[in-house]
Amino acid sequence: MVYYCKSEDMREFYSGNEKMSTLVNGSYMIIKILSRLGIKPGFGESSVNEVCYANSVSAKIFLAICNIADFNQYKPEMDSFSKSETADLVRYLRLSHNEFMNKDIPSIELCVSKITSSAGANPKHSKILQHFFEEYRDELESHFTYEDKTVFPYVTGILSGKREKGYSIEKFEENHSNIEAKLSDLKNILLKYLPAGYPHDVVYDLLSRLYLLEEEFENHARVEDFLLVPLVAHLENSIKSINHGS
Amino acid sequence: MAVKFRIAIIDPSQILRAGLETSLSQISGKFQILWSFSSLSHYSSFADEIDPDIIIVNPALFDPSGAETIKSILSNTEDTRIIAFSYTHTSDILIRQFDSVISIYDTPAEIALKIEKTAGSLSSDSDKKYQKQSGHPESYDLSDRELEVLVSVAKGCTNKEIAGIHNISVHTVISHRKNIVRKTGIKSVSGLTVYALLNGLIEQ
Repeated sequence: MVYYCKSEDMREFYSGNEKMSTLVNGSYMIIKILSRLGIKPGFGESSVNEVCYANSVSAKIFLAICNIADFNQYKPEMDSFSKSETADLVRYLRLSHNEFMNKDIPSIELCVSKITSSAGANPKHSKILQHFFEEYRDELESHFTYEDKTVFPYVTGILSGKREKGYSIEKFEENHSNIEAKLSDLKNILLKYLPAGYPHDVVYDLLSRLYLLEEEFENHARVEDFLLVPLVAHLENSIKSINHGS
Repeated sequence: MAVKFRIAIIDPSQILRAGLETSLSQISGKFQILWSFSSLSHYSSFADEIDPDIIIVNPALFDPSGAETIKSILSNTEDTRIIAFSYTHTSDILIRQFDSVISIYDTPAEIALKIEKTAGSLSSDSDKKYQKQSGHPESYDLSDRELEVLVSVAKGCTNKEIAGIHNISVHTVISHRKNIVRKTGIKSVSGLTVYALLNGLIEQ
């Protein structure tokens, strides 16, 4: 049995020879990654490599995403990823955006409206909370839309050998805004400063959703910053050198 | 902050206890049903460990002659309000010993109102009690200066403007802002605005 410990020095990153079930038992947030990559459950005693192969998913990309999520000091080797694996990564990130905006945020929105429309609520306070949440939701929407409409098409272009002029992945990295800050603010407002009179069961339900989503957002940003950006920068350089060579 | 009323329910029917608990928690966050007992002896075995503000009890559990006062049966209840939760006729001599009576035919809103009224006579004492209990480290409250800076931040002022308004250096403004973020856990300007609005520091 392999035990994973996230914060200590003597670290062993996840590898393809480990059992998939052991991986998930050690870090249940991996369930979300499996689900987005369309990997079916019922792993039996199969290894990570075997499960990924059976589901036509690149084990390298799967492991890189898991390792980045769970180990701060993990650095993927850029040379070892193929173009089709980078395309898989873009697909994974698009699916994540879709899940955030169409599943996680709506369920949080439902909790917020339950809270703000509850019988004991002060309508003035409710309006303030509702407004803060809606502003945040719109911000998220434009953050993800920018990536879906501008960044990912640029990466797909690079993969097919076309580099759009006047844009580089460095630009994206520079402007990559933090989307967790306001989520964490909402969390603290509910946890510390919510006036009395709100239904506590819904508030706690909302809080646990916010904690989970905050962690998801952090992991998501790390995958973009430490996997997508260096991978694309590597490809940009290789296109440059081909052009110079010819 | 509004005071929460800590409530104990004593009734043989699990359905009625659960129903009362659900109705009260839905109607107002003021009521916390912390304890639920099926009988007086069940209550008695925990009486020393709990300190409810309000006990809601089925009067049929007591001797209808009222020979033994309910206060003496429910020991440890000098500061506690006792409310009868009745669903059958109860003798006058017994009912007079309760601070209030609620009926199973009352609507949840009527019940909530009666409990609040009964507890109202106690809230000034318990306000003091809770203030004493909730004593948190002084340093976590925002100082007057920090509150002033917070209000300016919430109004959308820049650091330079805030420095001008309060006649302090930009450096001092930044250090106040750092302390505000550390104490509240709120980083964004719109989050701080929500804080200021909820606490009535600014008007919408």
